Amino acid sequence: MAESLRIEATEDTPLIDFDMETGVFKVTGRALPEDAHEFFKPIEEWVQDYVESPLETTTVEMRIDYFNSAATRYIFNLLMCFEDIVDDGGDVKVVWFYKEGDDMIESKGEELSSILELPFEMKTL
Amino acid sequence: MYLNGVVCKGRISGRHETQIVDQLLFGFKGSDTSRLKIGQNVTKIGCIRFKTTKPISIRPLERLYDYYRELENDRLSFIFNGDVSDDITDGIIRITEFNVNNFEALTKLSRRISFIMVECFQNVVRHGKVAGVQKEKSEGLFAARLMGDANYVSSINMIDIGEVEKLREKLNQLNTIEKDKLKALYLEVLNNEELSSKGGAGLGLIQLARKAGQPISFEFEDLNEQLANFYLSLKLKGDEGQTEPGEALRFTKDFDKRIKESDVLMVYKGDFGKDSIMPIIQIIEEKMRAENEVGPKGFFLILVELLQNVSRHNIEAKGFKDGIFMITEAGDGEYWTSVGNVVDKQTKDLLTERIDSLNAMDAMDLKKAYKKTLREGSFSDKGGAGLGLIEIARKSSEKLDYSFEEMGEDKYFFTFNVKFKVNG
Repeated sequence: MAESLRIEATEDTPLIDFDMETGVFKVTGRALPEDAHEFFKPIEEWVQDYVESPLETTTVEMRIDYFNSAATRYIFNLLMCFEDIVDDGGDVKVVWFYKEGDDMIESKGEELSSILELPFEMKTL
Repeated sequence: MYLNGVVCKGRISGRHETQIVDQLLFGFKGSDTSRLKIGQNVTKIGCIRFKTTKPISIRPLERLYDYYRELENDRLSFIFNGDVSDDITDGIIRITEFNVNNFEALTKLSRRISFIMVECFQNVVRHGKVAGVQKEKSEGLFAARLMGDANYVSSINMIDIGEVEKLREKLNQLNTIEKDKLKALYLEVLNNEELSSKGGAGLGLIQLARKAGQPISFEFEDLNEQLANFYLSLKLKGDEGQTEPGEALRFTKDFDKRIKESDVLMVYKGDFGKDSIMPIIQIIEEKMRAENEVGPKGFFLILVELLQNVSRHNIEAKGFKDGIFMITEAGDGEYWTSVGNVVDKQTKDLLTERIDSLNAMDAMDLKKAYKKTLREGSFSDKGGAGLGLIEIARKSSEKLDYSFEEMGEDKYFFTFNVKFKVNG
């Protein structure tokens, strides 16, 4: 079984907390890196390995405050990796958190959910 | 043509000289309409109706290139007009320190520059409020230009007319005291128990005089019976040379006049690398938050895209990612944000093609293009694969406005203007 993945938040990158004990994978904070590739690539690789033999249930909790377009693209790629679990008949869902009245994060979640083939739940903080 | 509902506090702003105040809607009871003019300072808050004879020019595109040419050799410059608050001090220190530490001609001055900037900046914040005059925020100007061989920091703020003579005397005294005696004076004032509640009885000015090591340039200008403008300018010598006396003050006064006439809120010229962009964003976020109760999230994101766009498409001819950035108030809660930088022919063609194709799309097309790019975006491209520009086009309240000025040697100055509502 893979080790949990944890990357502390910085001013322009979010906290990554993928807990293998609970199966809850959290992305929290700001995602504004100028070089999104550098930040997200290792995470994507970790997820690609993970979906090969996932836990019984996986919950991806997205709690993003801000993100730039480059990060949007990599977050989309990241979430797309989880589609493999659905394809294999596994249990995975994305919970997209947004603050009441934060139209921007809300609409971004709706937009992503409309192009991803993943169970997607919108939740206010 | 009429322009309604312009709220004035401090200075009557207008974008065109042919605007005249036509009618006072409220807040100026008893005032004589015909005496109010654009650029004049008023002490009341109210609403005015302007009459214009020409359409109002609100396109800041041409001006950006003018400003760039003027500040072209600066390693770092920024000018804040109007409301400044203490919240942005931290961002100013960060951006200054980063730039100073990465610019050889300035490293020796490093600590002194940051100190002087902050002290001078906070002078505007602290003394922006005048007793008896209703103003919620400071109305001043803060400008800093670091060029290496010549550097200066300036501020403008309104003070009570009654304080002019006292301040003039104090500054004249500081300018004649020998440098080693300034420390004694500093300690004396520090230990004086009768400190004024407002900042500290000139301690800031004494410190400024000590750190600058050069005379402080200053000037006063009466605005009306109650208020005067206080102009302050400090020079800092670099490795060689220095600005001629009065030059910084002249630049500041001239720049102040021009940017207030065109409602420019801030200008930043300098590095657009990762370590500079985050502090700029921090500063603007604080500045915009101070002006709007709701967090301006969409605005903030466009800024990130625009600034990172300058960083991405940069020829780095000077050894750093040089560019200029400006925010202009467009009225009705709308703002222009303009960025400009030097690009090569290849980038010019790429940007022209991308922006033109986005301008030809309507909202539905843009949405489709966005999703398509997300789905199919080339995975080898490390950036946003054009997502940034689509995002900007989707949030912009008008078609994207851009231009290229030919600079010779296969170089072009790219100007990009985006207009949008802060809370839209």
